[in-house]
Amino acid sequence: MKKRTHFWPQALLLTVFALIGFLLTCPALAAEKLTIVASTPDLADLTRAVGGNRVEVSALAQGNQDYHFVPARPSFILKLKQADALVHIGLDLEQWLPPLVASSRNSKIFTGGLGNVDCSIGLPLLQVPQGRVDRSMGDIHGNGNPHYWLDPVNARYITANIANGLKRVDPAGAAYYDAQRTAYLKQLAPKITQWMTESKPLKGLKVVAYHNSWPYFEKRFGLNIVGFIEPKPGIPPSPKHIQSVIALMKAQNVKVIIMEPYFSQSVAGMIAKATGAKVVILPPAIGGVPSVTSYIGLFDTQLDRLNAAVR
Amino acid sequence: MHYRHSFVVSLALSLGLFSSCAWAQSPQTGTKLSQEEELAQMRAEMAAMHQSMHTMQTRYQQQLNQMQDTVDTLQARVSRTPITVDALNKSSQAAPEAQEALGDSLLFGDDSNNAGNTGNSQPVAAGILSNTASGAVTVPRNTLQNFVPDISLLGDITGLMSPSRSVEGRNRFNLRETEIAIQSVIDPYARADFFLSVPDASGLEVEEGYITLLSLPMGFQAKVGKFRNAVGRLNRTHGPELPQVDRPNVLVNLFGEEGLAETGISLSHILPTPWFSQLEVEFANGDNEVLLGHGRFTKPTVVSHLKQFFDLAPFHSLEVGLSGAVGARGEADRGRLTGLGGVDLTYKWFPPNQTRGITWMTELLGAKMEAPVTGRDFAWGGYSFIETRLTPRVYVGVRADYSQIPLSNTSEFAIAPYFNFWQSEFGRFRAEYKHTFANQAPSTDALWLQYTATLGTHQPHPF
Repeated sequence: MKKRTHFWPQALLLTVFALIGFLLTCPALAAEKLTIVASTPDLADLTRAVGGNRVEVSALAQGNQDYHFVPARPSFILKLKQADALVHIGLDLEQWLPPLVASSRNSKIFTGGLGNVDCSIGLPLLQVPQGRVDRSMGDIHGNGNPHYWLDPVNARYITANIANGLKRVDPAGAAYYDAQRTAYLKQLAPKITQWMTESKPLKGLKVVAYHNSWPYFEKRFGLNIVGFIEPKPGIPPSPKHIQSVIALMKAQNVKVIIMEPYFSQSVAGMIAKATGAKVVILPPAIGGVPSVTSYIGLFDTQLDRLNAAVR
Repeated sequence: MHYRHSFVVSLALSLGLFSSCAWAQSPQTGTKLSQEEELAQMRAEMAAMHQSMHTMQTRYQQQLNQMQDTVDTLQARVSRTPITVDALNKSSQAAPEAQEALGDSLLFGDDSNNAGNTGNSQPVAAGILSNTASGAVTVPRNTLQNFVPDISLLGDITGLMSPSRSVEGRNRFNLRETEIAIQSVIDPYARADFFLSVPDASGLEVEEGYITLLSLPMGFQAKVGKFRNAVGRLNRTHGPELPQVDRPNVLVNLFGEEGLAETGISLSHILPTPWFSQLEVEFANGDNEVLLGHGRFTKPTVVSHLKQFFDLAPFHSLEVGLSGAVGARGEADRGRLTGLGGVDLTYKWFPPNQTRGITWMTELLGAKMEAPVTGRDFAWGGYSFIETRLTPRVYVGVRADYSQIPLSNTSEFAIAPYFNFWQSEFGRFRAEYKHTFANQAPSTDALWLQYTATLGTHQPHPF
């Protein structure tokens, strides 16, 4: 006869097992500096500039990743759990972020929390859809194109949002954050002047882009993006579309293709071979290529690469 | 304005040249030599005059450009329109002091047209995603639309071909599942996730419906309602989002076609380890059709899961899970107990270039049944699959299953290669072939074709 076991001892054992784990928990030691998590390395760099020595900043995504499709790793939850503020791009670019925030148990960074810093607030946006929008248009963003950090002038709005967020979670540092922001923008201003001069040969330059990441960059530096390798945002190119891009480039004598480092270079290479164009890998973010380590360095590299292509 | 000046200067030059030519060709009374000397002198004077005029023209042009830039800048300020790229490029050609001011004016100048001013925004007209950048606008936020929950629908359409009579639903097309998701925060403290399901195009079921209390004291998070339980790795995944067409045999044999989804309460906590480590404990009624079906919380189904996540290197990760569950079986089995234990491993390599990637997932589960009326008192099983990304759109993989069927003496082994094609982020085509060997039944073959579509904003499920 089979021996009958009892329910409650087993249930109790599981519960005790869980409680031991809970009791191991101790509150994290209070840090002297604010712990800030930025969704991207670009925002992390700007947050370091504004926060100075009052903040410790880390980034979730890496600059060589497509910010639309960052794998949401549970290790991100650990960072978010400890964060005093979360600085993010907004405009639904980081679709991977909301479930991480929901799992963080950190109400400071929830939407509406003092530490939730949406850097797109108040920013002059491009390509805001009007009228009916649906997925037949590809993976578009309902509130406007979110790649706004690719215009260096938008740093004024991004840093304003960051400064406001830091002031909300650390009111004692308000004057410091304002001074830091002004100092950074003064550092950035002559660089913008320099970039505008350096971009003169690019004015009106016809290019084809892989993805619709560059409207802010295009507007600031005067490029003319005449087509995209993706038939619609986020839709990989079909052979038929590739042929239409080749025809377009030949008809308009387009000699430059710009693309992010994470897209398929074989497709761009094939189009370049058929049209005699050059493929320019433009890092869209800090870390997009190893040599780009700062927000200012990002535009130095982008313009250097484009100018080298048109020389 | 500067065009007019250029025209006047050019006209003067033309007249000078014309008159000099006319004079040079007129009949003269002096000697040939003196005429040639005079002609040479006149030519030299003309060249000097031409040089002088050119210098004046260049100077006037520079002055005119500067004046034009000043006018453009002032007009932009007065009309409060953004400074155009043309104006900026002209400014970059201006005097050095003007160049130094350009970056400052862009970063510190008047931005009332842009930042925070929604009233004067000029929407982009037609061709919103045209290839050229359009006018800048500031989006009005906090619209009423933001209060509408995220609503989405997943459609899972399959066609199953099989020569084996024992394969259920063979040689039919099937709208296997229609899943409707309604998800939203409730207030600053809680969110709700409801997933309604229509299996086989008939009858509405609540697959999951729970409230999550997001931030309880001491770092706890709680979930109440009906939810898929934290046993193993794939039990939580909804049908249309499974990595293969069908749920692995071990999960079907231990928990039924729909897996283990109970109504109750869940408590979770992130442990203070350097890596991500989360412990969950769930107390549920026990409504499962196979092993945990007592149906009352006086003898609840208790589930516990410890999840450990390690970043092995950039873009390489390993997840290790340990699961345990205990509960009473249904009346047919006289409410006797079942205890389960399991381990799961998931390795992922997801390089940033979007053209490669590997997922390897393995899960083992065992169930010990107290005094079963029929069959074995211990059953175990597991699956392992590896999937690789071949192109941005194409994934291929193969899964192996072994499973003993509890409360019987049957076991089965299956092998299932499959192919995924993502036409976009929201539509996926899949083909899977499965061959199953069973120890007490004939082998079976099945070929699925599946199309899965996502409509609307389907939020990824919280961890």
